[in-house]
This record gives sequence, C-alpha cells and structure tokens, in this order.
Amino acid sequence: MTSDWRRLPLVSIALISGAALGYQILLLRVFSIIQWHHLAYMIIGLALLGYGASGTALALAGQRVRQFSGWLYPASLLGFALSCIPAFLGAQSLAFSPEELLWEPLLGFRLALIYVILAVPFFLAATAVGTALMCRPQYAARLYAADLAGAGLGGLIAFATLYVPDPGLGLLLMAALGLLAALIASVELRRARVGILIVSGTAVVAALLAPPGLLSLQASPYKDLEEALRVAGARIEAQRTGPRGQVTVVGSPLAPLREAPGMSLIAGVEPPDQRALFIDGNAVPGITRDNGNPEALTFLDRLPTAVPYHMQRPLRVLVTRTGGGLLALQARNAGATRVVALESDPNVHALLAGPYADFSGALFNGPPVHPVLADSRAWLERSSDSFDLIQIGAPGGLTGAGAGLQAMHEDFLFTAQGMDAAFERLNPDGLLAVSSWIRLPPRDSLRLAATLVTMLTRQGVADPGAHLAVIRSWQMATFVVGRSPLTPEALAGMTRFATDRGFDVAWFQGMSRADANYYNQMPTPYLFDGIERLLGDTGSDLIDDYKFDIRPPTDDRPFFHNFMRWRTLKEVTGLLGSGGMPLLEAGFVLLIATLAQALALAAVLILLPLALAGQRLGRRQCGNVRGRTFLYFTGIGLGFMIIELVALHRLVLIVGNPVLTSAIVLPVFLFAAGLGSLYASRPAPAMRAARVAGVGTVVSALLWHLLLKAGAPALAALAGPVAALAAGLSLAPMAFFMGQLFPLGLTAVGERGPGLVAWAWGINGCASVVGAMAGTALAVSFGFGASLSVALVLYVIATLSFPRAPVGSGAA
Amino acid sequence: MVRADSSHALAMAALMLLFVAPAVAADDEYATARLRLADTVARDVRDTADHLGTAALAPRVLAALQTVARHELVPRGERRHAYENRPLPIGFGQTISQPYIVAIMTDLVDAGPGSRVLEIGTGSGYQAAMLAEVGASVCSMEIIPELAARARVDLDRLGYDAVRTRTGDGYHGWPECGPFDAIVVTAGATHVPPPLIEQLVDGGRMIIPVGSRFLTQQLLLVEKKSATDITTRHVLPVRFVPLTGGHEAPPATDR
Repeated sequence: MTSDWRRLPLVSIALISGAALGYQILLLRVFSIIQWHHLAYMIIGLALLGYGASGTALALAGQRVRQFSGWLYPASLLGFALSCIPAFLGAQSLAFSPEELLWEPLLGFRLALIYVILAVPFFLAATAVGTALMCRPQYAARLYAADLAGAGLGGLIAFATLYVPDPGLGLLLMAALGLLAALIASVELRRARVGILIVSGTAVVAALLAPPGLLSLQASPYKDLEEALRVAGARIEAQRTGPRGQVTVVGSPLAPLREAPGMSLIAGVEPPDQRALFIDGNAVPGITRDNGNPEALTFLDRLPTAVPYHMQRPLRVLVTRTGGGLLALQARNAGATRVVALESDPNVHALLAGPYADFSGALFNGPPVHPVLADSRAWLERSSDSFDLIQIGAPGGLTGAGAGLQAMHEDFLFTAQGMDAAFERLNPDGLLAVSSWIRLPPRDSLRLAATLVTMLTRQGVADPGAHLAVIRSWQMATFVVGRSPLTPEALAGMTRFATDRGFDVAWFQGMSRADANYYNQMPTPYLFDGIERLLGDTGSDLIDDYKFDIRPPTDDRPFFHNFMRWRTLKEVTGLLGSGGMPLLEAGFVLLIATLAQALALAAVLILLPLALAGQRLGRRQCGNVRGRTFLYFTGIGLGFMIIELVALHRLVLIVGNPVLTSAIVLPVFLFAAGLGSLYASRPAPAMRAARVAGVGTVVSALLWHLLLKAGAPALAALAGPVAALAAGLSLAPMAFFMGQLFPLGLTAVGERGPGLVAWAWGINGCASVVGAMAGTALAVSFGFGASLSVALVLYVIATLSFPRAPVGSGAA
Repeated sequence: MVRADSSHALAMAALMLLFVAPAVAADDEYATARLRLADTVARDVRDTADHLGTAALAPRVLAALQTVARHELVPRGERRHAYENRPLPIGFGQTISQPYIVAIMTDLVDAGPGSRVLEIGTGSGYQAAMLAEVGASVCSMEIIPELAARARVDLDRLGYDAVRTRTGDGYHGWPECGPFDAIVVTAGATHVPPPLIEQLVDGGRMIIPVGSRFLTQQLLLVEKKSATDITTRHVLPVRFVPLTGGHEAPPATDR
C-alpha cells in the first residue's frame, strides 16, 4: 500500500504535530488550574511516553504497518482528534490530591490510569508521524522538517489561546486541528471522498453528542480558591485569564476574607475589608480596602515588613511583585512620595487599576504610586532609577506553606545576582528589605541569609555584618540590608519597632544571642547562629553540613525553593510514617519519582521490540547497528530536550516573562531545527553530514553559552519583545545543527528496514521525555552550565555512534 | 410449645450470630485498633520528646485517644483507615487530622477537667470529642454549614452532647462562650485574629497547625501572659535535627 504515499503528507504531519504540542501546552495549563503545576508536569510528562509507545507498537507491527498505512495514517489522526477531549475529561475525573498519595500508596494505581488515558492522544499523533517515517524513510528529512515546523506553529497557536477566558476551548481547538489533519491526510493519500465523509460525519456527531458545559473545569477541593468559595457568602467577583494564569478575585459580605502576613499578636487591630486574590486557584496577597481613613490601615504598621519605615524615612520606594498591592499601600501609608510598584501580570494590574480602583483607594491610579508592568528582575537590570527603600516580599505563595512544591520554579530575583541588581538600585543610604517565611526545620530564611551575605561580599562590602539586620515574627523574618552600614539610630528604631510589636530582633552586629529568641521561640536562635557562622569562618561548613540545601542560588542555578539534599532523603524517608512527610520537598521528590517512572517505562518500551521482534530489527544484517541506533537516538533525544530546557530557563532572565519566553523561544527553536532538517535532505554523504552537524551543535552551543554569560545584562536591558526576539534568534544556529541529526540518522537506519525506523522513532520519543525531566533535575541540582555540558557530551556520543549505512550508499 | 420455644430461641441465636455478633466483633476490632493507635502515638511522642518538651502525653489525653471512636467520625469508605495514624479526607476539601497531631495539640494547650476550650474549625468533630473526653468544656465553630451539621449529629450520636457547636466565621471567636483557657485552631492563616487573642484568659494557650490539609509542617503554640506579653513557640512534630552532629549551637538563654 506504499503506492498511497506517492505524495508526502507534509501538511497533515505539520498539523498533527502542531495540534499535539498545542494540546500538551494547554493540558499543562488546565491541569495547573484544576490541580497543581508540579503534578500537572508529572502527569503530562509521563503521558508523553505515548510517543515512545507508538514507536514500540509500530516496530512490533512491522511490515503490516506498510501494508495498511493508507488507512492507519488518517485513522491515527482521526483517533487523536476524537481522543483529545475524552482523555482530558477522564483524567480530570480521576484526579486527586498529590499529598494524599503519600498516605495512600494505592492511589498510585489511579495515577497510572491517568497516565495511560492521557497518553492515548499522544500515542495516536506519534503513530501517524511514525507511520509516515516508516513508509518513506528516505524522505525523513522533509517529514521531520514538517513535524518540527508544525510543532512550532502549534506552540504559537497554543500560546495565543491562553488568552481565551475558557481554557477548555483551547483543547477543543487542538481536537479540531486534529480533524483538519485527518481531512487533509485523506486528500494527500487520495482518499478524499471517504475522508471528507468520515471527518465531517464525526464532527457533526461529536457536536450533537457533546453536552453543554462539557469542558467546564472541576478544580480539586483542596485548592485555595475552592476552599475560599466554601466560606459563607463567598463569590467570585472577577476573573481574568491570560498566559500568566487565571486571576480570580473573591469577596464575601458574610465572612470577610482577611490577610495580614505575620501581623503582631499584640497589634490589637484588625485588617479592614479585603478581597482575596488567586492565581490559578492558589492564594496570593489580596486587595485591601482604603477608604481614606488612615486608622483603618493601622494594621499595616504592625506587619514585619513595616520595619524599614522605622529605621529611616524612605521617600522613594520600589515594591517588587506587587500583587494585590499590600506593600505598595504600606509604602503610601508610611508617607513615601514616589512608589514604583512592579507587577508582571497584566490582569492583576488591570483589575487594580480598573474595577478595584475605588475599593483600593485608587492605589494604582495616581501618585505617589507608579505601577509598572514588568518582571522585577528584568526591570532592575534595565532601570537607572534609585530608591531609598526596595521591598521584596516573601517568595512562595501567601503563607509559604506550599513552598516545597515550587522546587522546579526558577526565580531570578532570589539569586545572588538578583540581589546585586536590587542593591545597586539603592541610594547611598538606601535600604533593601527582603522577607521570608518561617518554617521548621529552618530552610528559606537561612538560604536568604546566605544569599544576602554572598551578595554583600560580591559587592565588595568590607564588613557585611555592619550592613545587615533581621527581625522575626511568629511567621515571617524580614531582612534589612543597608547600602551603607546601618547606623545606631536605625538599629535603635528597629529594636523599638520589634519590641513594641512582640517581634524578635533576630540579628544585628554586636547584639546578644540571649536577646534573639524571646517572643517567638524557636528550638534555638537559628537565624542568629546561622548568620554568625555565615559571616565568620565556618559559613561554608554550615552550608555543607546542613541537611537541607541552603546554598545561595545563582543565575546558573536559580531554584530558591529547592532545599532537598540527596543525603537527607534516606533519613526523611525513614521518618515518613511518623510525621516526616512535610520534610519532603514535594516538588523535587515528584520530579525524581517521575524521572524514575519514565526511565523504567522507557526501558520497557525500548526493549520490548527487541525481545519480541528481534529478527526484524536487524540482528542478522549487522551486529552493531542496533547498538548504534540505540546510542544515537538516545543521545540526540536526550540532548535535544536538555538543551531546549536549558535555553527556555536561561532566557527567562533576559525576556523577563516565562510565557513570552516560551512563546518566542519554542517556535524559533523548532523552526530553526526544521530548517536544519530540510537542509539535511540535500544529497551528501550522511556520515560526513552528521559529523558536521554534531560538531556544529557542540560549537554553537558553547558559543551561545559564552555569549549569554557575557551579554545577558545587556540583552536584559533591551525592551521586552526586542530582548525576546534577540534571545530566540541566538538559539537559531544551534537548533539548525541539532535539527539535522535526527533525519540523517533515520535515513541511514531506514536502509536496514522499517522495523528499525519505528524502533528509532520510539527511542527518540522515550529519550525526549526522559531528557525533559533529567534536564530539569540536573539544572535544579547542578545548574544550567552542568546540564548543558551533559547534553553536549550526549551529542558527541551520538555523533560517534552514527548508524553507518552500508558501504557505497549515501543518504539522499 | 417447648419445641416452638426452642426453635424460636435457635432462630434468635442465629440472628444474633448473623447480625449482632459481627457488629460486636467489629467493635472489638475497632477497640483493639484504637489501643494500637494510642501506642503508636505514644511512641511518636517519645521519639519527638526534644521538640515537644515532654516525653509522654498526659494520661488523660492518652485515655481519650483510646476512647474516642474515630471510625464513627470518618466517611464510611474511610473506616478501614480510621485507626491508622494519618489524616483522612472528610469531604468539602477538609480532612480529619492525624491522631498524633490531635493528641499533641490537646496536650500542648493543657486541656483538662474544668478548662474552657474554643475550637475554630469543627470539621469531623474528632478534635472536639478528644477535648470533651479529657474533661474540657468545648465550644466549637465551623464555617462550612454542611460539615457543622454533620459534626453536630455525630457528636450527639456519640454522647458528646455537652460540646457546644456553632456554624459561622471563627474570626471573631465566640465571646458569649468565653473567655477561654485554650483555643485550638485547626487551620493556619496569615495572621492570628486579634479577637481570639482577646478571648484568651491571661495564662491561656492557643495552638495553630501550620501546613496543608494533609501535611502539618509545624505547630505554633501561643502563650498569653497578659494582653501585652504574648509569646509563641514553634514545635516540630517530627524527630529531625537539621544539622549533622557536632555543630549544634548551645541552647539559648531566655532573658
């Protein structure tokens, strides 16, 4: 039936690849709303093994694939379209709280079922692409180019649909793209009439059968938003959707929602009416009513973050990550004359300046507050403004309770270089105030202390201790760093402030240890002890000996929220049955668990065809071809994903906005790789072409890394879209070389038989999934530089293992 | 007649065997499981003595743990896990807390005969039942009406009709029921409501778990000496020292 394939199905390949990538991006978005981001990452990451499974199935089916390919190809496309929505609905109905899994391991079966259900659409999409590659391996370069270019386009469409208020509609769009792909495929394979009939019939039946509200999202009852909505009278007042997330404002006239992070226990005052704010269903600092009566806002002066206003009279204040505006309101209330309020989510910004302008006392609508829509770190890099006070709120949600879940989130503000950027924007007598949640065993606050001490040392401050002071409430520690040494008057003001509110002065140079742990007693005054050691000779010993990772994050390893240490894992695991579960850094543990599962499943998927259809996979023809095929496609699959991930994470620093970064970097990367693939279709000796591409990949990646290291601040200083474009284009040469290797290898392998092509396709699918997870795990533990090095070594190994074609043949 | 009587007795005995005996056997099983649970909790308390400041629960708390029928307060589908030392879902996004956490919270606030205790967040009613069992006079508030109604029914059924319950926002406490010797808050927030502090007597204690529904990271014990002298103590409910041996700093001296 290969006569059906006289015309290459390039358009349908591009469409299905785009639909599959778009579906993946939108699933991640939707599951982040109804569940949690880290769980979404795990579920969808594993479901992508459907790609690998398709290779296994095709390899096992062997010759029959070619025989029935004329039907198999469009049927797979149709199957993708039909399975998109049921797979999502099925997985949604089975979802549960990931924390419950720690107590009830049997829920693992339900988790496995979710993987399998979600893997179906990816399996079908990959089966279609794999079938085309099997039937026309000699045109692998052009087919793969269409696959990559289509994926790039799908990524762009998916990012555009993130603006649609109903995220479920995006999934529907991807299913529709799948239908379109099936329709076009039937034309490409000369089955137009049957195709039109089946596809249009399917579309009509699906539209008729779909009940209203089919795609309404069912969020987990344990999400903050769902919990807030159960409060009597609580209702959603406003909701906006954008690429940064779904922003929801909730109010309740019967049981007002109130937030006052770390407020003094002897405050004797209550916060006024507030509105709770949620991003993707997770609580963030809300909006406070300001009716012009300063007494109603007295609570602001009872928060730990008010301490700098009692050490100096700051007039020019910068507030980062403004959210609902609590710190900006605090600055305005304290008499600041200019308050620059940075907020990166345009929806939060618009809500405060629009519908909540009256409620918030026109906080964002005029002086002294100047709202700026920007990522904090990128803005600090390009600004030349200077301030008397820079306020950086505590990272990790409203209470920090879920901080462990954010282990994989890069945060370029909470790095030594991020703190450098803030420090350099201070006036000579300016103060930098950074807050952190109090957790037991101490983690966040000690890491913040280490980061600030490192920053002061990097800044060449002769006596870092003279610049640092810390207060601690029952819930929050606020660190104050002076551009100049803190004056006795400032320290006296801080001590008065703390004592009047029942806060502890946790550290300043020369204070007594006995005074550091009175009001809010910890087992030991760990912050005092920690800072003393960090400033003394044993700071590195403390960091090395501590059972959690409290190394200062850097731009190369910007993961403030990951505290897990491998050597502690055994002890923590031993304590799981007796209250030790909160010691687990859930985000990182889930990542490792996902990686382990992916490795095991990938091994099964790769070995299965060898065990069941070894003969067909070329055992007779060439002894080492299978070994080379395995090494080659594993190497380029892992390497491709690790480099793509490193690029995405690294460029967030330059672009500022992770969504904009993905929206630009991913398509540029995929288009450039597609061009590379097309270039590989030229007549040339395959072996030599692969060597050139391999060397090109390594050299261009190294150059990119060096360029970024030297030029990141200059790039970050450019305006957002220009920086994003420059960042994206910087990747193009590397992606161009990387894109050549897959088709060159596949063409060479194709000369051994279709079974081997399918097997290689499956290996590449499995390696891509494992690579995405391994790349993140490597970056979190060792940094981007180390991840990139590993990827380049993999490319070298792959290039050296190129599956040689028989003597005399060349890849055409 | 004799024959008829004996067959009646036989039938009764068979019915007893069929319906009553399994129930008695199940009750026995639950009682045994409860004792095992109490032993587990007692062992965990011993293991975490350094953090808790005590190596053993007060005998009345341990006795309450051995008495309160937790299986009667969890959803039917979760009964098989009722006497495992773990939290369980009870619907509406809420959980029944881990018995170990409930026990140490009861112990840390020093609840006992004659003490008046306010609970914010009735949930399943388990904590309220524990407090009642140690002899405290309990006032409990729940903001989710369905949970409040269900807990009221269950508490009455189990004979804890002296526990007073109210449906509503716990932020302003329950002044008519106070002042309180102890306040147990079952879910942490971004601040401690000032009205709750006010309703605590001088010398009173408040306990707040910090963390999520399924994972309690730490406990915050608030001690009110007077309106202007309030201290807190952070308690780690697990045997864990974050520094490797030999580097622990000397203990702090209170001023």
